[in-house]
Amino acid sequence: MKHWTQNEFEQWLYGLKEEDGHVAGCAECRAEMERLTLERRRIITPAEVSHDFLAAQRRGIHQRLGDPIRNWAPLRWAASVMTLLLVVFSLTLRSSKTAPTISDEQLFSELAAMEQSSEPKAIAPIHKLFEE
Amino acid sequence: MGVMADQLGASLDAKASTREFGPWMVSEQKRVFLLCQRMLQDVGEADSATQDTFLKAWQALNRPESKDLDDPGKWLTRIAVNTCLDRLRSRRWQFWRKRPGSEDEQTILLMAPATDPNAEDHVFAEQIGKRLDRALERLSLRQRAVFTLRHYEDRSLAEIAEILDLDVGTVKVHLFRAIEKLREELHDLYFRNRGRK
Repeated sequence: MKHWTQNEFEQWLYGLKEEDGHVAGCAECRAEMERLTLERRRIITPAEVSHDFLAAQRRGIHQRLGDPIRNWAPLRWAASVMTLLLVVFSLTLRSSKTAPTISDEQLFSELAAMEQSSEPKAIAPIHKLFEE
Repeated sequence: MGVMADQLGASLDAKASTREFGPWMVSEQKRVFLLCQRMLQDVGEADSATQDTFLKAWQALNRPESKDLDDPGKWLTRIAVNTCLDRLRSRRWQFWRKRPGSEDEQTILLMAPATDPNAEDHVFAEQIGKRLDRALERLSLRQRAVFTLRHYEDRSLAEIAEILDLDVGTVKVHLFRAIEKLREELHDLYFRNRGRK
C-alpha cells in the first residue's frame, strides 16, 4: 500500500488533487488529511488588526470620499503629460538655439557684396595660395 | 462575505448612499486590508491600496451606468487585487525602494495571542508563516495573486478564476507553479514535525 506523499497532500490542500481510492480506505492518510485540514483552518483565520489603525484608515477613506481632489489618479496623469510637454518644449527651444542665426540686415549686405564683386567668392581661397 | 455586504447587494438598485456604504466598508475593511498586506508586503502601501479600493468601489457604485451586484464581496476583492497588481507593477521601476522592516508591521498588526497548550508550536508556525509571506516575492504577479487568494482567503479555484478573469486551467497552472516555488516554506508550515518525504 503506497501512502500519499507530502507533495500530494499539499496539492490536495490547494485543490489541485482529488481524493482517490487509496485515501478512502487508508486510516493513516485520512488522519493526516484531518490534521492538515485543522492546520489550514488556523492559517486562514485572519490576523488581528488594531482597531485604532482601522478607524484611522476609515477616516482617511471618508475624507477622500468627501474630497475628490485627494483622488490623485487623474492629476498624476495630467502632471505626467505636463512634464512631457515641458521636456519637448525645452528640447525644441534648445535645437532652435543651436541653429545658425543671421539677421536680415547681415544677409542682405552679404548678398549685395557678392553681387558687386567681379570674382565669385569661391575664388578667394585660390588667391590666398599665391599670396606671400 | 458579511451580512452588510448582502444588504448592500440587495439594496443597490440606485446609487449607493454613504449610509449603506459605511457599514459595508466596516464589514469588509479588515479582510481587504489583510489581502492587500499579503500581496504588497508593506503595511503603508496596503493602507493606501485599501483606501484606493474603497474609493474606486464608491466611484463605481455611483456611476450612472452601475448595475446591481450579485456578489459585492467578490467584486470588491477583484478591485483590491487589481489595485495591488497595479502597485506591484509600478514597484518594478522603483529600484531604490527598500523593504519595510518587520518591526513596522508589528506595531500595526497584533497577531492573535497563542494561549492554547500548543502555544510554542503556534509561535513557530507564525514564524514560518512570516517566512512564507516574504517568500511570496519569488512569485510572478499572477502567481502571487492566485496563491494569496487560495492560501489566505481559501477561495475556490473557480472563484479565483472569476476574480482574476482567467480560466480555471490557467489558475491551476499558476497555483501549481507557486506551490513549486514555495515548496520548502510549505513543507515547514505543514509538516514541521515530520521528516521530509
